[in-house]
Amino acid sequence: MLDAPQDVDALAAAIADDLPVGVWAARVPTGELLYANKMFGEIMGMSARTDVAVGAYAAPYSIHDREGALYPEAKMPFVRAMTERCIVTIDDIVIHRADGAHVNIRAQARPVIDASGVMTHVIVAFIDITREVTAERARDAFLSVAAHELRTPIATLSLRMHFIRQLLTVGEEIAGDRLSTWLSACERQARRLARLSEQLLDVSRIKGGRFAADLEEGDLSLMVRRAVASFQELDSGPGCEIHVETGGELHLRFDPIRLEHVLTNLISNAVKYGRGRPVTLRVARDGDRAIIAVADQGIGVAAEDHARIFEPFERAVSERNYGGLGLGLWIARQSVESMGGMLRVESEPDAGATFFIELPCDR
Amino acid sequence: MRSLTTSAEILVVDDDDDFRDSCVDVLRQSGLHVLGLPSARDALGYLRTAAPLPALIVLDLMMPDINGWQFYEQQQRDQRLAEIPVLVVSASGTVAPPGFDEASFLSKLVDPETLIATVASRRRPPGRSG
Repeated sequence: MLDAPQDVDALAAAIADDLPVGVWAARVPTGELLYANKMFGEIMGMSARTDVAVGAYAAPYSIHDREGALYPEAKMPFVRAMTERCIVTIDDIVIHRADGAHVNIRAQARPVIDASGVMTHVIVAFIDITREVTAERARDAFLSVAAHELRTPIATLSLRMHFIRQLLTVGEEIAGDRLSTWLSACERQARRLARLSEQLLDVSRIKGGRFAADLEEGDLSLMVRRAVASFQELDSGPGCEIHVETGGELHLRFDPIRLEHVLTNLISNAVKYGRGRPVTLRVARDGDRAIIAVADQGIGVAAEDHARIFEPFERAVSERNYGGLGLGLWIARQSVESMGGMLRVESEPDAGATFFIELPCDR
Repeated sequence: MRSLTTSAEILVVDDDDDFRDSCVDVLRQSGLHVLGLPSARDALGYLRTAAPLPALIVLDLMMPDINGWQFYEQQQRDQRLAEIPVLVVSASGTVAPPGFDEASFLSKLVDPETLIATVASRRRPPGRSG
């Protein structure tokens, strides 16, 4: 702790040293280091700033741009501030530290010019913007995934409509059952698009803290059977076996629309990752909780991924294999929690996965 | 040309049933002999015994189990299959993904006429045996 500032210079020096921003100064034009504070050493991954004596741009770290190329000498903040004689701000510096870590830096460099107009040194501030850059990347990746997810149903609709129009143009008789099959496919795509836009809206509702549930009294067993029936009728292709086991009526308060979305999400995941094996839903009461279990016999989820899959934009498998926004389970968990319940998973790789929705019920 | 055989001229590999079906229907309607398969594994199985080999493979990239990149790698390693041209039809972007040149890539959002024209023009010319 600082005592009363008897010596202003000492106070300034102490503050500069403890600034939560990396600061260093170097003489022009040689670049000889005059000063570097603690935070600069921390950002560059060095235990003590005395290590910096070799120069701010020298080993043991290296300085790159965001594409990984070595940062050109002429564009370094020190050099630019010196040659342009004004404050420069640079956002695209990445420090590759000796410990392997990469740190994104915003650098601001200011030339110091004395009364006679002679530039004596340049002061450079390094701010760690790794978090911001990571968030930016996640957002960009999300936008490209979202665009991808929107494209497939649109492409399917457009091909199917083109095909039907071609048949009409050549005057071909179209049998009712064929037309009905094609219309079902179109309806599935429309539902897919509707669900995607619903998910995007849910994201903004959750982020904006406007995600309260609309609770009403209902029979959970009936609700689950209906959700499964509607999924089988509208979403799944043929050949997907889904069993429902309920122990009779189970009355409690839940948000039926939101719970149906959660169930549709869990069932479609179970089908998608279930290797074509049967999916089972069980509804049961356990004391003051109602439990819906959605079990598949598919690829499963490794223990280390059990928490991650509920985070936004995450999935436990490669994007090269499975599509989707990567938001389903996050929204599902937020939905269940908005009803006062919880959503969790039990699974092992290759041993299937069971998702448990637990909702509070009276008595 | 290939009227004596039941082998497909165009192979469409995509795990999205609805997209694959509509794609196959559109290409068939244009007079091509098309087979749709739901996975890269099925496609590799088909190609093992297919004679003659297809003149073009229309390939999706994001697929469970073996994805499109992995399929392409395996196909390129097999001398017999490597000569079959591949047209990637993916929703992933508007430019060719890494590993594929612009000419062998088509965005899923392309209009059906362009799809038909590209498939027809990217076909391996008949006459060369597989």
